[in-house]
Amino acid sequence: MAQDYQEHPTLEQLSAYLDGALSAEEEAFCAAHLPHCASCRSELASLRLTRDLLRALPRATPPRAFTLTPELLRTSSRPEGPESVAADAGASAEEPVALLAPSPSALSPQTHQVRPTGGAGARRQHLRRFVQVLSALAAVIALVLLLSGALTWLREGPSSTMSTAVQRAAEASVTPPFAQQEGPVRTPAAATEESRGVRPGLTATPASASSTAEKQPDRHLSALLGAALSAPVERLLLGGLLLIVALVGLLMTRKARSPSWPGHDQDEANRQAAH
Amino acid sequence: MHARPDTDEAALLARSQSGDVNAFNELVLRYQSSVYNVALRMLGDADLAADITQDTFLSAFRHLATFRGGTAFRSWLLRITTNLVYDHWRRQRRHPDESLEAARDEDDLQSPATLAQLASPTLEANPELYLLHQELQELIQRGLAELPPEQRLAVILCDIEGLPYEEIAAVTHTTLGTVRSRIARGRARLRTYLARYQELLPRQFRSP
Repeated sequence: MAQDYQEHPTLEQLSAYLDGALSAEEEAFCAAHLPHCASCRSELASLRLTRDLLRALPRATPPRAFTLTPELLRTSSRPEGPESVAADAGASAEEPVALLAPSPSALSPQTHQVRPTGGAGARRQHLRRFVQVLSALAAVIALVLLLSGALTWLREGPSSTMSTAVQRAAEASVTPPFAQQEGPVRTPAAATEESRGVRPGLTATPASASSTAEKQPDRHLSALLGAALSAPVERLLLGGLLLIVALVGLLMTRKARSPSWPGHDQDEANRQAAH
Repeated sequence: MHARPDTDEAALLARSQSGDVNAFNELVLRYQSSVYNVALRMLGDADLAADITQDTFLSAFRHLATFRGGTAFRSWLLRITTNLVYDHWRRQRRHPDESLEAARDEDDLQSPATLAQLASPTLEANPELYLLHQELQELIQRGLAELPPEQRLAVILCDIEGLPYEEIAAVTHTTLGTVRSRIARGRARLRTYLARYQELLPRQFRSP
């Protein structure tokens, strides 16, 4: 823009000149330039024609009064009513803002507050965020499991098989590695049975697995889990499954994210194109 | 054009904020034309524009407590309208079936609802305005629809609603520089579009 300044006013300057929206300096520059430049005059004239056509468009008369009635206020509180639309609009206000406003410094606090805290859109976004965090967490756990499983595998050799894992699980539940003294003593048979029964559930839902392991200080369960995790094969399997689940979760949330507007603000309409 | 930042409006707003629907409805009647026209020009569909207009006022009434002046009430309203319009488009992208329907509506230039909306009886009473024939009005609306959404909004707010640059910046949450750029690009793009249909333009609008 600075280099154009010496020669011709820019398209933006000519357009704003029509509206009297230029700074005094720019205004003076345009006023001084135009009498000497036929191409800028014709550019200005064509912009003025376009503006005048738009201005000459008749205003549409609203088809009815949009005053609020008690019925409207009542029906709009239904979940599928306009309220949810409005809440959606408010919740997603961030997106148009981000697209429309490259500089957030222009945000005015009032319009910012239009966004309500609740609403379907907000809930959806919270859920998405939750699944994302959960997937990321699962991915981290999976990687740790895979890594430690692989390391143990390498150290102990591939001879440590499923059967030894089950055996370990049985041993571990008799003397739980991180259980307290008053923990119930189980027979090895019962423990292996349970470890088999519990394992698929744990691997199928990593979220519940991690949450039960973290939140519920169920010593018996954690003993089984610890036993299961002490075997490299199982660690690898569990890690692999967790990784898959995590990736699926992340992919799904990525797809579900609202599409952004295409960046239409290209510089296609500059002065060269106009001439 | 419609900005009347008078004490009357402040009083109506205060009453509305304390839950007085009648006071709010006076504001609705005052601004429904602006809201409806912006929605109509953005969407090119009279029924959709009416829905958006109604939702704008419902949403505004519900969230009126968050409006504390500072910006004009009209800017605040038009900001809600814009959000609803963008939201509508976003939903369309998520549900292509609906968008197909809407696109057909938009393309249907003989849509009687739209034509009736555009042929305003007040126009004939106003000799200051050029009477644009319907074909030309439709052409301009089609040209507007070709603009990228941000440019379309800026041009509508400036040249159809007559908002000053500062208020457009408030509605669109942008800087004055961005507003200036969008209006200029929008006008230039529309000019290029209209130039293809010189024969439809009234004589005084034809390029020399």
